[in-house]
Amino acid sequence: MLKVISRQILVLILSFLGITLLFFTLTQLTPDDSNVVWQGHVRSADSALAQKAIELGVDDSYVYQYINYLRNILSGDFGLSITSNRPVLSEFLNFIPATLELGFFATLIALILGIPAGVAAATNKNTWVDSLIMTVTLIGYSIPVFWWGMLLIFVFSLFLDITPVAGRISFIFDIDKVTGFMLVDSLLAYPKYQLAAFFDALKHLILPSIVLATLPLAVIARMTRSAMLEVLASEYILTAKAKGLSRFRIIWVHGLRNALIPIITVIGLQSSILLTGAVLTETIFAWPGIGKWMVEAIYRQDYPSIQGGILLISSIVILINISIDLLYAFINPRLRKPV
Amino acid sequence: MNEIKLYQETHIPGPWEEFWYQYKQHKAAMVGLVCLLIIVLLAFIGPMLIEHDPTVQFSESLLIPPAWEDGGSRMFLLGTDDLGRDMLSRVAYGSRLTLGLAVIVVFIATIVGVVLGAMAGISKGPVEFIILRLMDIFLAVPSLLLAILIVAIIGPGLLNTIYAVAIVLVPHFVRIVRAVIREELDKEYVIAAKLDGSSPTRLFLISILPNILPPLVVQITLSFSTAILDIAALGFLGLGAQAPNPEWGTILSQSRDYIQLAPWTVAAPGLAILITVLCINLVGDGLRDALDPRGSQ
Repeated sequence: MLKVISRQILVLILSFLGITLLFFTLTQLTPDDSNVVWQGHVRSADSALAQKAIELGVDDSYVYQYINYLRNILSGDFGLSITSNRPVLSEFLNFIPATLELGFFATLIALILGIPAGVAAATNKNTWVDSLIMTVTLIGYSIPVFWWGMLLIFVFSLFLDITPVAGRISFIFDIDKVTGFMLVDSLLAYPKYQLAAFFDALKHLILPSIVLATLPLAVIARMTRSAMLEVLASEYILTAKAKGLSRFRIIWVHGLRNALIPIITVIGLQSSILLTGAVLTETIFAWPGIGKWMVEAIYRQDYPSIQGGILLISSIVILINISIDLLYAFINPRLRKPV
Repeated sequence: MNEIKLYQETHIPGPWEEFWYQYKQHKAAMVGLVCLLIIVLLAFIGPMLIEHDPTVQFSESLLIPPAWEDGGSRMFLLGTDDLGRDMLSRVAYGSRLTLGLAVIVVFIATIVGVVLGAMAGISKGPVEFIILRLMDIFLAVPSLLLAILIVAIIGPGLLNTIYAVAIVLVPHFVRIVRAVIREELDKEYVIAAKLDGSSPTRLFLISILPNILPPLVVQITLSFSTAILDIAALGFLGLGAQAPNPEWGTILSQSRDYIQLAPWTVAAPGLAILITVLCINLVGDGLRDALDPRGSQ
């Protein structure tokens, strides 16, 4: 186990160095003065800025600049956003809760529907249930996310008028920002609005989570199906059958438990897919998360935000992947023994 | 010449015939293949059959519904958009643009991916380590954000979309090619070729490449659908093909504001993307099953 952990930490450090080096190199290629890119200010006669430019060492060698860049990042300094003039890190922390909230619910939907759908398809192999689930999941991963979002808005918000079109909560509610998670914050505002605000926030969450959940749901359902098929064909399932265990127990307790091992890896890989989907989903639903922030940063050519934002997002993805690898080693005893 | 016939059929199917036989068993894949051929054919000849230019604006007929609806005109089968442009011709010309871009993107990604993957697979040590770590880094950045980052640096536009999406696709090729090469390297025919004194390049091109084609073909098909979705997504965000270009994602981003007033302007390009990607994925699934019969069991 210690060996696994130390190897993962090494991978983490290497990935971090690599990704910062990549971003550093890309910054040199941006069509702008690197001083703007780092600090969000045009190099000016302002003595404080000139001082900062010297501190950052924009005129020094690349090696020195890179070391400086690393030092700044490690101390949490990602520069200033050009548009809001606030530190990129605090902007990021401002936008991430909305994305986490959305991502959490999307993952929840994908798991709650995806795993049973995959199991159902595997246990009813080559029947109409299987074909139905396979067809639906095939459409699920072929549909363009943004079009799917527009379709749902058209049907449920404009035509049936049962869900709101966009945003996280109606403007009539004045919710104080405490945690940044709208569901929690609206509950904290209980004395003011009772549960009305909470249900309103929940209503706003439904369509975006469904849109974001679609692709991971399809992938998880298909993966569960193939993992289950493999497990159900193994000998210990035959033993369980011979022992006279109920079908329910064989499938859900004995079968799914081993099928879950590959499924967990797939779930880990979804974090990257989810964040890609979040960019489009948040744009469609005007959801104030990091995806929308990134797209707007690009429209405004806000390089410090784009850079810092994507670097932070990638670091999160790397961290999630490494935790999944560790979890994988932890739940799969076969990996723990030194090979 | 009196040969004794031991077998009922004298004809032994070659690899291609064998593959085609396997593929034909897959009904959904056949449907996908036929639809895909129709789509490609339409992309080639469709624009010739259409009378309107995709960028011509008929200022007399803005937001006309499709022909089968009330107020529709037989002039514009799929209706017109907010600038009075014929939706049918926009979607038809868009198929050339979106599919054409996807073909170029996948072509570039395949070449670069196979070269890097082969380098990583055949040579061990630092070369492999550097290539793999580099690919890991690219994989850690969510695909659309990586494309956005690249577009941020080189600017939006058609050509830059190609680079951005191709770079996103490369790491997947590298990983697959490297993994299958590793598997093949231990096999006896490779050792035989090595003993014959073939150079690493020859070893790869003559001995290994034909044997890694099946997984490569499947990956190319899947990349094709990813490429179409990513190109459309960049177009939709306004970072890919620019405004008058009838790229499917770009059309969607323009018609988005008219979804309530003119839902047909949203439906047509979206359905075009969905059907195309669906067909490609069906073909991909079929190819995978036909090329690797073990996996389908």
